[in-house]
Amino acid sequence: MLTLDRVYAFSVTPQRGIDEADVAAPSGGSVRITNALRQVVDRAFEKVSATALTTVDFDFDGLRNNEVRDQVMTVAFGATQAPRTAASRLARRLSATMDNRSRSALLLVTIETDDPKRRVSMLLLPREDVIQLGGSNEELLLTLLNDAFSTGSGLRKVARMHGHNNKSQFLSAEVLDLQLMSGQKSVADFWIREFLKARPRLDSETGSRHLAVAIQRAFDAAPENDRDAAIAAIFKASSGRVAKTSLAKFADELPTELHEAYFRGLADGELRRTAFDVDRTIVKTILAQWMITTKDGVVIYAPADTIGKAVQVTQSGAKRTVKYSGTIDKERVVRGRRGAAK
Amino acid sequence: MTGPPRGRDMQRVIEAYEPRRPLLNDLARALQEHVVRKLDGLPHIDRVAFRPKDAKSFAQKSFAADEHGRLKYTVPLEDIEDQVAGRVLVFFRRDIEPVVRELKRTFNSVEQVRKEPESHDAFSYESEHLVFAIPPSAYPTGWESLEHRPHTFEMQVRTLFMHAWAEPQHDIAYKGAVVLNSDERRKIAWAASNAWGGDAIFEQVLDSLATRTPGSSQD
Repeated sequence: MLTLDRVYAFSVTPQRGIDEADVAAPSGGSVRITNALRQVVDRAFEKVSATALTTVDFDFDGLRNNEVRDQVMTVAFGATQAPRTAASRLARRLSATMDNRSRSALLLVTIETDDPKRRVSMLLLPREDVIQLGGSNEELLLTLLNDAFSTGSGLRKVARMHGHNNKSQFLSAEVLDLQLMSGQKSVADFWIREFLKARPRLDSETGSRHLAVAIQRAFDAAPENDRDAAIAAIFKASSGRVAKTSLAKFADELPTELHEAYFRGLADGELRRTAFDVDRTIVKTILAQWMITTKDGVVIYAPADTIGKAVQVTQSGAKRTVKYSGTIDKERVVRGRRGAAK
Repeated sequence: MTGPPRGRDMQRVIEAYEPRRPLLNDLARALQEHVVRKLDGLPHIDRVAFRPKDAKSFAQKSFAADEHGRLKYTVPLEDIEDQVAGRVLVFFRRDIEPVVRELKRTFNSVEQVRKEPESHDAFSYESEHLVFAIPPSAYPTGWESLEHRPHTFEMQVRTLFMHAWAEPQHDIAYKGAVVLNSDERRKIAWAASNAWGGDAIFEQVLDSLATRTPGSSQD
């Protein structure tokens, strides 16, 4: 069972663009653990655990070095003053990656122990002004944590790493980033790419392939009244409007009745909740062609981007109708297959 | 300090590991399919093969000591990174780099080491060793409910000549019951020099052919 062992808190202000040597050290340090703090942190982590966290892998230089991972392991396993110094370095790094679009914030670093394992969590909490942290500011910290987790709206970001002291550990982080799916790349990238120096665990091609095939399954399974929602999901995925998503997150675009088909064959775990960059070309390629067969045996084979434009599908009650008008490029007679026309 | 493992310690590790082998096997298969698909189209690939580590070898490694004589692996079921490992064999030295590049595009890379003799006058094992994070798309059913599981897998990329030396050498040097004497070591090093020479000569032939290929600058 994990026990809260140490807590560090730092006030971080945006310092991006400032010369490395001139980046001011963030104020803050160790926080005394009281029963009240322990309770509020436990409650906060219960809320975090109930949220779908996505997994990211740290970027390494070939020799298994990553600045954030190295500091986090020192925070977890270092001796004497080393953990506090490492926590301060993390805060300084965070500050140096924040630009003026970010407001001042409070970085909370917690260490929980369950020998030989440690869990290090970094929480970014909103704070409009810079605060001086020290022994007398526990009340303020409790208020901030309570506020952030009572509604959930105040919490900005979480990164959590767990493991024992071995080179095979702390290679990835579980991340909560409410801006992760933001269409604005720089906003989505700040916490993961720039601060953590990490990347989505699922590569873009694999994730996009799974997404397209899952949507295809949902579309095929959709009854008449859910067909429009499935079509809308196809357009959204292939339009480029969704830069980053997860299979679980994108399911929100579909009616619940289609989730069974959408998730079929996708293990209920990391694969579903891991975010990836959507490769629009892959999605479009897989969902490229639509085949519409009418009651009188006419088959329309249409590129997806002509649906809703040259190829108009309308619905009236349970009846769906297709209309198409276009210039013939070539035509030929093919031998009929037995039973092809009904 | 740790001593050599006793028989019952080995047996205990084997019993903990063996039931996981089917899952490791499924993982190896999924990774192999993924790699084969990703390398499709690259020239001169002789084969792609993955395997789960066998139980005896895993048990032996579990008791490996570090430079201070302490156990190297705290939780072997998580820490031993070649529980699933793959290998790509290519024809020529120049084919290694494009394969490595594609693998690094496909998987999140943790470590990359070029294994080669440290001294210019030594001939020995050569291979490109990589460690990658296991992607969730390769997890077999039941993987995530394992209490301890590896997060990474290993890959080797090397030429047929490198492989032709490495495999029999491994068989003789690591599995033999008798310690090799100096003369035997020298002969094995000579074989390594021939493998190195074979790769080098093919590179020269390819360079030479390139000068006479239609469209090259010397035509």
